[in-house]
Amino acid sequence: MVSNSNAGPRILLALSGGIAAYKSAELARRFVKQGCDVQVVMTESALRFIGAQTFQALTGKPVRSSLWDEAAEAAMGHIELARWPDAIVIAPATANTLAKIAHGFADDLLTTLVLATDRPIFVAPAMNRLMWANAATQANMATLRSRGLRIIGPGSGEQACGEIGAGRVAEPEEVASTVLAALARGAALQAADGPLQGRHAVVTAGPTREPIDPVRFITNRSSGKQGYAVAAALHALGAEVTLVSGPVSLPAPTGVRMVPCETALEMLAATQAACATADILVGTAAVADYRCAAIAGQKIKKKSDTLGLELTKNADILTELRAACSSSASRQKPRSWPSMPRASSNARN
Amino acid sequence: MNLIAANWVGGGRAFDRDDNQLTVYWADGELAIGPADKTEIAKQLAGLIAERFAAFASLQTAATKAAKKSKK
Repeated sequence: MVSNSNAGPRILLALSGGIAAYKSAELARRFVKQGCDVQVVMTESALRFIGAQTFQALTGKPVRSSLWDEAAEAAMGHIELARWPDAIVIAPATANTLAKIAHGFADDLLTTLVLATDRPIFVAPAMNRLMWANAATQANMATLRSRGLRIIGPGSGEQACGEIGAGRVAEPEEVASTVLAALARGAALQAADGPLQGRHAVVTAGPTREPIDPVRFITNRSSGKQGYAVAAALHALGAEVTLVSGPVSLPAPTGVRMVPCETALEMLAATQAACATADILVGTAAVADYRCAAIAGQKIKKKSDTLGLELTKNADILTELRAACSSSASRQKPRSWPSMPRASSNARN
Repeated sequence: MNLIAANWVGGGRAFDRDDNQLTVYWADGELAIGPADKTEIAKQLAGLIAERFAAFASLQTAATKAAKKSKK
């Protein structure tokens, strides 16, 4: 969700009072360098650790720290401020601030903004290892996690207090990359509100396997890469995508419904079923042109010097579906038009 | 069928590799895509599908309207 048109994402960087606050100067700098519009909010305690002037210089914006600053409130009220960012990043997030957020407190500007926003919230906890390990803190973290706040870190190691353990704030680089990656994913999902929104696309991909006997089959070199990429690309344009896939070693594209199959006959049946509700069919699969006329019930023994296999032609999936489409051409709304990326005898994969 | 994409195979082309090259044909046009990475090919192909789908849908709507008019 990137709301400003010409700049990068809007980040509200909120600091609560911990020694790790000094690291947030570098975090602010990283966000700015990545083209983000950054507004810093600091609690009274945070101001005791690092000066507001530092952040004003880094972000080019005065720091907000009070609910009662009349001039700042007149320029942008706290409710408006809560709706301004694409993401709220609380770094460092102290045990106290996390506890207040978990319980819905709104006794300073930071917690009020968190309560008054519907934007994604990222927190980078920073505290002494015993404070972090405390059951109260852990219960608060579980609450925050269950409410969808994203927790970055904390890391483990030597702490400013001299102790060694978990509670060290995540490094600025990690916080920045986590937040920006999540925003980029959000933007990609928004792009799913694209030209194929509301359309159902079926994509076939990969090879088929035509069994010879229980342990052998005929197949081809199709990897499924092109079909999987087409499925992902159609999904990115907003289509609801069903991917009918022969056996491949690729991960399922995010957000795509998978229908695995093995033989050409299975792929035909699965594609026909999926196409009942489809607007678009892309046939990318390398479907075997022939299958064994008879599949041996048992493993074929190594007896004769030569072995013949009788093959039967498989139905062409696209021809079959085209026939089905034209017979239902009287349907009311603009319907399926199968498109067929394939070579004369084989799809590409 | 509204689009047909042709590609050369064999000789180490297209199958089991990361790049590809297509020529896509439709009733009154064609478009060469690639050679490029399959993800890039897929983006361009998906874009073309969206564009041709929109063109097809508007043709259908026009045809339906024309049919209704002639009935009157």
